[in-house]
Amino acid sequence: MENRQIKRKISRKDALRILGNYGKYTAFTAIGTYLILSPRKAQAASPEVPGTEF
Amino acid sequence: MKRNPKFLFQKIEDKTIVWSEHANEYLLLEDTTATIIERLCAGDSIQKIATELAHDLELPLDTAIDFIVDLEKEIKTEKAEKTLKTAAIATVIKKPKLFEYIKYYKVNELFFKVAFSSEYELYLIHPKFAHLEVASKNNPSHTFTIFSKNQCIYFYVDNQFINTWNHKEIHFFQGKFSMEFLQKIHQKEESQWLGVFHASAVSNGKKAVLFLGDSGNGKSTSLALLQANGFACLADDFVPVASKTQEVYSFPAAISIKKNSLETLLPLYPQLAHSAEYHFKGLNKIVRYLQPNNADFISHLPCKDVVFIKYEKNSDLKFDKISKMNAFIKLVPDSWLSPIKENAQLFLEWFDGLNCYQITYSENEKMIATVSKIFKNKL
Repeated sequence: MENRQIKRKISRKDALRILGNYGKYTAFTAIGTYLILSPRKAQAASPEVPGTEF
Repeated sequence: MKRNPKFLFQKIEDKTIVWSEHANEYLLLEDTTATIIERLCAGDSIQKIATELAHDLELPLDTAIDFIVDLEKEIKTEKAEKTLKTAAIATVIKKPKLFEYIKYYKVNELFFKVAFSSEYELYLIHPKFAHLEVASKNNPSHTFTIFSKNQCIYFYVDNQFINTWNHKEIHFFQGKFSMEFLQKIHQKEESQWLGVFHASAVSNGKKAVLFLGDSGNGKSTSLALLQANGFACLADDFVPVASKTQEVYSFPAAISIKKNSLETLLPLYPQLAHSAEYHFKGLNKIVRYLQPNNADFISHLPCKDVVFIKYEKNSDLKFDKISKMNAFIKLVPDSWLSPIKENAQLFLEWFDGLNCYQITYSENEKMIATVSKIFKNKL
């Protein structure tokens, strides 16, 4: 599982303008943030490696 | 991006899940972002999408364009996958002449012959299936062959090479063994399953409930308690769901009982006192195996409820409905999910129809009463 954020190039002027409207800035941050979930690529048992004593 | 869409979209709660075919990954996105991907797939121009995005979010157009270009790049990036060129290796490996252990297992009307080259391979598989063992049999339905060479384990089914794993990937070998066993039992190819879940499945004969939780949270113990109280064990640890029916299918592996659960379970299962104990040193685990109370390994049942269960000493019973998104995040990384697009679509639809709960308990009776209510839809 990983969190990613799309890189955005933004000038200082634009950043200040966006920050002036915090709600919109938050919305923009939110749409660029997402979670990637990777299922297992093969079937697996619970990891149990036997020792020598049984 | 005017190509055959390689994405699936499923709106769940306030987010959209997007499945990408090239990576078999699930992306959890804001609806706006998912819509952008959908529009890119439909062939809308970046300029057009960016103009609307810039307007909606009061962004400079260049910023919106950069965002969409980066998003497109991100979702199109092919993930390099490690693929072992095992087929070539298999052709030059000769099977040993002598197999120290030959076991026969009966499941429904099928007889399986499994040849293990040594005690090492035997103990990777046999303890979980020992309750199915029968006397030797001519003309078995299927023959599984397992041997080690050069620190790798090799697996054949009916003389066909399946794969090889190094000794650090043994749980993938065990998973593949279970998958091949499952396929023969239910006569379904791998492409006919939408997923296999690391869970326990309990049934009341009419429907199934899935129990999930991190290792050590008490899934198997809860399952053993439930099967002593009128419920049936459909599957433990390896829970398959078929794509066509979206039902949970039974799997005959025994329930693994950790040493610290023995005190709770011995009054219910006195046979555990004399059953063999296995030491998994690497994981600091000592387990015994408990036979499932279900002998009908053909059965399959619908499942609409998923429960994340946790035993916590001295805890009061806590029972909550949890968000599907929360459940999805916990479920996916621990599951094998079919990489086939049609199956991924069916998985998303099946998941969307589930009720997701969380139970934390220390008193067994209260946990059993709550699970009974789930089965009776009396919540």
